[in-house]
Formats: sequence, C-alpha cells, structure tokens
Amino acid sequence: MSEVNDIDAALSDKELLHAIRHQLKKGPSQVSLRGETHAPLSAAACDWITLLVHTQIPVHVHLDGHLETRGLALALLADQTTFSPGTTIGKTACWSPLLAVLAHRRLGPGGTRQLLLTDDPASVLNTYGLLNTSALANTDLKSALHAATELPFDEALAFASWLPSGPSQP
Amino acid sequence: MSDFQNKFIEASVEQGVGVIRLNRSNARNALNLAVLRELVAVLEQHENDPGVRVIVLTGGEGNFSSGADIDMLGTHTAASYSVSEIRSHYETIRAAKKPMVAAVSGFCLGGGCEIALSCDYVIASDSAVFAQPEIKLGIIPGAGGTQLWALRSGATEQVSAALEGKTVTAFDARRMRLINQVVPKAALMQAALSFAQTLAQRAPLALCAAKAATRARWRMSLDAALDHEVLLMSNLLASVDAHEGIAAFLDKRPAQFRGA
Repeated sequence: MSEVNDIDAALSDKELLHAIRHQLKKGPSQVSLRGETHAPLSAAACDWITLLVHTQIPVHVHLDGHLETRGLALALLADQTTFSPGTTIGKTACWSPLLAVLAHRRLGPGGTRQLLLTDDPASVLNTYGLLNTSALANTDLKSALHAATELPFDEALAFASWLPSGPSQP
Repeated sequence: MSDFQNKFIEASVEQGVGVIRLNRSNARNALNLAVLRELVAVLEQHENDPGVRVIVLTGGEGNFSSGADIDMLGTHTAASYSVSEIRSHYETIRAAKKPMVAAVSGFCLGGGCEIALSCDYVIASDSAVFAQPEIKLGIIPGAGGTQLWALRSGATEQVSAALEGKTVTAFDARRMRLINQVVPKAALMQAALSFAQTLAQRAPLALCAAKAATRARWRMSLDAALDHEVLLMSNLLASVDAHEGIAAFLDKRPAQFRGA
C-alpha cells in the first residue's frame, strides 16, 4: 500500500481520469478526492465515473465551497463523503441525466426521484447515509454491496459467503 | 499430494484435482514458448494421471495472464504461424479430455483469455478483467479469441471483443455469461478447488464423456453430435461406474466411482 495523496476534484475530466488511474495503479489504501467542484457533468466524465464505480478500493471525497453536478456525482460515487462547513450546492446541480443514472444505482428509484426533485440535495444524501459516514469504507462490505448491485441475488449471496463474516477493519 | 516443479509452472495433485499454476508473476504471467511448453507438458501429465479427474488452471490471486509475449509473435512470418509450435500448444490445451476449471484473477488478456475460455468452467475473482486486445496491435486473436466468446456469450459480445478489444470486468463477464462465477479475490483458489473437488467426485469416464459430448458441436453438425452423444452414452452403460451409480442410487448410498 502506498500513501494516499488527495486528488484535486476540480481537475478537468481528462486530468481527473488520469489522476485516478495513476493513484489506483499505486495500490493505495483509499482513493481520496478533495476540493471545490463547480463543473457540470459532461459525457467526458463517463470514464472516471466508471473507474470509480468499479474500483474495489474505498473512495473518500471531501468537498467544500460551492458544488455543482460533479460534486453530487462524486458524493454518489464515494464510500465516505464529507462536506466542509458552509458548503453550498447549486439549485440546478441535480438536473443531469448522468447524475440520474448514478443516483439510481446508489439510491434506488425512490431516492433518485427525491434527489432530482429536491431543493436540498444535501439532506437527501444525509437521509440515505451518504454524508459524514465511515462504515461503508470497509472493503469487505464494499465488495458485498458491489456484488449485490452487479449479480443476481443468489450469486451475490454466494459471493458474500466467501467474505469474512465477523467485524473487520473499518 | 504430489508436486511437479518447473521454471514457469507449478503443479500439484490433491483430492483428484490437478492444479496447474502459471508462475511468471514478474511478467504478469505473459505467455512465451517456454511457458506454453511447460504448461502443456504438465497438462499432459495430468491428463495421463488416473488420480486426476479435474484440472484447475490458474495464475493465482495476482494475474491469470496478460497474454502472449509480443516478441513471441514478432518472430513469426506470414507462413510460419499456422504451423507453429505455439498454435499446437493452444490446440492441445483446448483439446484436453478432462474437465478444466480456469481460476482467474487480475489480467486475463489475449492468449491468456483464450486459454481461460478453452476451459470448461471459468471462476473469476472480482479483480479479473477479460479482453482480446490484439486488434490494437494491428492483428487479431489467433488462438480461439474470435470464436470462444461467441460460444458462451453470443455473437454480439464476440464482435465487441474481437473488433474493439473491449475490456470487461468480472461482473460484466458474468452478466454476459462469459464466466461461471465471481468470488472475492482472496477466496479464488479455495472456491475453485472446492468446486473442482466436488466435480471430481463424479464418475470420471462420464465426466470426460460429458465434456466430449458438449464440445462435439465444435466440429460436427447437430445431427452428428446427437449421434455422437448416443455412442458415448452407450459406451458408458458398459462401465463399472454406471453399474455402481445405478446400484448406489437404488441402495440410497453415495456412489464410489473408480473410473472403470
């Protein structure tokens, strides 16, 4: 495991993809992104989104300042998200088809509708346990959740049965 | 348990399962002539060992194989590849008579992917990625990579693999039925061995016959394959194991198969 260096969350999509790839190659204990995210979510984001969706390494995101769609996307991709005090979210930050897909994966259909229609996205993220939580940074739980998303129920259950059943490191 | 030691391949036999492990981790288990020679030599040992009923082929928890050494391909001319020793080794692996389980983790690319898909079962860790990236080098897969995906996943995935060199994760591979099971990386070998040992408790002759029957369509029409199936079934009816299997069923006891 190598030491974790924060990736600037405000990089361009291409730079962000390169930075995440570079960090993952080093075999870190976690991927950490930090900063302000004024950017919208464009098609060029699909590559780094896919990378973060599929990584088995815990993803930590710390956001501050004013957030737009990319910030919400990062929050939906992360295993652990924290906001600095005073962080604000743009009124139209949720209005993105790409974000809708991400939200559906993370929050399910009900949660997605809440997020897309709300004036207060932070409260929805909070309700669904995505803000200021650390429990799901556990790699075994992350693997099990990923399997549950990707596999039919019985296969996900079989997958989880191979993971340690007791409490393990957070 | 018996062991064979080679330079690039580790092999062992335990509880009816012959394990072949690629051991060139410093090159991500890339395949060159020496690796393929050793692999095929050990495979033939397992094929001829009556104590081996099922074979597990793996690269361990790191990488299954990153594919052929590029310099190995570069040594061939337009005329020489079709009659090359490399081709012959891939064919030998594909033609194995005993059931084979590929236990795949990490990179499973190019020739490595073709070897994995030559097996009857593919059990992959959640870190596995599969691809035929040859198109990016200006060539195409040359050891089954334009055919073996289609047999499992259909023409759509075959075209993507061969023409785009698209990489698929273990979970994608499972969804497209390219592989049989996904397990956590740390459990890969335990899961593959456990599965292989369960399979190894079946009647050995019937296992080989079932494999031959299911692969008959690779080289014959449906009618011929159905006739072939009848012949294989007829031969098995004369086996000691078939009598034992039927007797054990009637006696409500576990069958003791001997491979005779």
